[in-house]
Amino acid sequence: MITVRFPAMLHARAGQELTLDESPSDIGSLLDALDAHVPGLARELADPIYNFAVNDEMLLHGVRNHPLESGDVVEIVPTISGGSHSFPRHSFPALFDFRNCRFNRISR
Amino acid sequence: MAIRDRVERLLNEMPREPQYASQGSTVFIDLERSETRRAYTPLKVTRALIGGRGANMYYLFRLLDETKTPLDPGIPLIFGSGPLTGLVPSAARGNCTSWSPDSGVLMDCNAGDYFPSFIRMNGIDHLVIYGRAPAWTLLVIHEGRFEFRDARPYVGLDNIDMRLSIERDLGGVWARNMSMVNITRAGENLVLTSGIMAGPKAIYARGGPGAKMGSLRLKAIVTLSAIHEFPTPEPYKPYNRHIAGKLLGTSVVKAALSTTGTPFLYRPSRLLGAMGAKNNQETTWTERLDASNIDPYRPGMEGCFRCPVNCRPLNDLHTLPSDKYGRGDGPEYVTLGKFGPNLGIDTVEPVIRLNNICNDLGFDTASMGSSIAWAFELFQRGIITKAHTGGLELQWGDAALVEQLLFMTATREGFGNVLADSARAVEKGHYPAEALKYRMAVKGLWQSDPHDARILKAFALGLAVATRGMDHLRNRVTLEINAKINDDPAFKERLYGGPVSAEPNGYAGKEQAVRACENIFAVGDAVGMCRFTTKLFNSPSLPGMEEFQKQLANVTGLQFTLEELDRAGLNITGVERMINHRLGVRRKDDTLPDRWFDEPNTAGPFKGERIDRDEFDRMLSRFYDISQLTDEGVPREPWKTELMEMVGT
Repeated sequence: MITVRFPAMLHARAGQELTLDESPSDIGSLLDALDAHVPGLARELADPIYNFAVNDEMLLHGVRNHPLESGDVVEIVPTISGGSHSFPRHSFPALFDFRNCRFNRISR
Repeated sequence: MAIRDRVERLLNEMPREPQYASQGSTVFIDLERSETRRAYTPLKVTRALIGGRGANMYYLFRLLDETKTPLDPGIPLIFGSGPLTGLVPSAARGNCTSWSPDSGVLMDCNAGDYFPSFIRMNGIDHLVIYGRAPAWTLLVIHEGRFEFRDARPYVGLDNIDMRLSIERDLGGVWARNMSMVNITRAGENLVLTSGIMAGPKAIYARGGPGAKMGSLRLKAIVTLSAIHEFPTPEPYKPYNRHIAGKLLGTSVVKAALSTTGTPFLYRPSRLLGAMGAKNNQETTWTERLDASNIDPYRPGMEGCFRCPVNCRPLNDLHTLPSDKYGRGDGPEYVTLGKFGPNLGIDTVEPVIRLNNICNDLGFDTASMGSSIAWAFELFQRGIITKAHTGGLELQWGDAALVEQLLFMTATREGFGNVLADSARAVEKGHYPAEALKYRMAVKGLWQSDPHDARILKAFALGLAVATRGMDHLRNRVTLEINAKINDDPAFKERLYGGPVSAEPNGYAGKEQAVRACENIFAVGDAVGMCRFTTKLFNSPSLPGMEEFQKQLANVTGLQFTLEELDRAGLNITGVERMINHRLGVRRKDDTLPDRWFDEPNTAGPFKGERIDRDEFDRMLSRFYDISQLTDEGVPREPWKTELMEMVGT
């Protein structure tokens, strides 16, 4: 089980928090799973304004392949560094097919 | 040579007519004699240093007498706006330059709000002020004409009351036809952490400019003029729409700067374990200071002249209207960090209140918060005792005590006199030499922001080499904190003009990133652009050299290649280093506080991280090499000779 927390700017689209019953193996898989649940979310999260923290620790590089374990809490953390319509989107392509995840929405 | 002789010699070399369309004059103001003289920045200086901060360096280099001391009336205080200031969206900035009474090296600070734009509405690009006025003086600039008024009725007023009094007495309207820079009691009392206020919160902050202005007995400069259009060689407004679109279309502006402002940065910094707490003894702090906790106290956002971003959060603590400090502007991330974790305060309400007090008392919150945090740690360690503090028990988290200390500092009362001497407290004999081990300063200037840079080596190098001292706004490679950019090496290489390690705590190539940031930030200051909205600071996609190039051509008629603009950025920092060299700065001063080399980071994914001295030294050497600097950190030949000829020596 992975818990995902969203920043206020994404609450309207994704809610405050999602709990994923099955555990994706890394952040890349998690993104694909999120996109399956909230279509277009992975593309939105490709904006460099969004960083990721796992269990209250920020990730600064090697994000896609960062391993996840059941019980991890992943937080989307906006930073004032990055972000644009012109930034190349290829840095977060969908790599994993993760169709079997189920989400329990806690709040929206 | 006396300052008047230096000014005379300089004036003899300067043109008496504008050198390009829309150029404003440089006004030399002799406060002692109540005299003004005008000329224009030479074109060769504009081509090499552009204007604003860049041209300020030309004036300081020529007028500086390093045999004097910073508060001597023969050391000028210089204000400068850029060629785009007041004309281009988000270009509302200007610089204030001198020899810092706080750090002892270059003083150069930047502010926005309305004053930098409104002096341009008066046909002025630079003010060069020297001489001590016989009595406290109010300088009024009305449609380009100067009037020296008696400021004695205003002496003793802090920022809130000063602004009310001037509005009442001069009849202008803030932000419509009137602007002001002014000092408070702190500046009058030569407090080294005092700034020059440029609005309710805007401040020329770093290096003690308030003390410098106070030493000249200049209480305030007020501009009165209508807002008008400038004659330009080419229309610039159509391209302004492109720039505004770029500003407002960038997600960092839409999602963060325009809605919450810089306090947004607090959460990522503490999750990284890079939030300086208790004078950087610890590196993370409570979630109770996350920006979301300020939301209930933020009634809206404000902005500078013609800036569509509006990044300045207002605050309202919902106290009685009679509570002078129950509402105001801010806090910014710097103040949140310096008066929150850095002082052990863990709730937002006292931080907001202390922010409002600092805005009124005219303090640089970075230096003031650091000066207090240093004292707290010295007390914690027993290096100072109640015998030093006048009986005060300095305890982390005691917000009421901090409030008391702020007012004591403004008037140099009791232990406030020690805090007022800022980073110089050892030199002034207040603290034993052992205290320097815990002083979080470089080149005598306190660190500007609360980010603990033991992890991010580009941040660390930038803080070490910044020409005004330990300051992130000169060259911070902010995008180092961005995982997606770190994970895209090709894009990162394009951004910085060379390969830069993807690892935030790696040393490889970080000099390249700092060099690129120094150049573009210096050019941004020289044209008048805000740092927050300059490419590479908060985003890779905000306006940068291309936009500056285009609007400089439209507004001035001067054509710069992108290479020439980049070279101008290098030139500006080169002249700054030549000034610092005259003031005794050498390679040994391009360093960091011992704590970051010797003590490990205490929290987060990089727990245990510190700066390796040998790696740092090699990174510094590489930075000098690509910056065309000698081993002692000054421009190499033939560049040095080119710069000397350009400034006319």
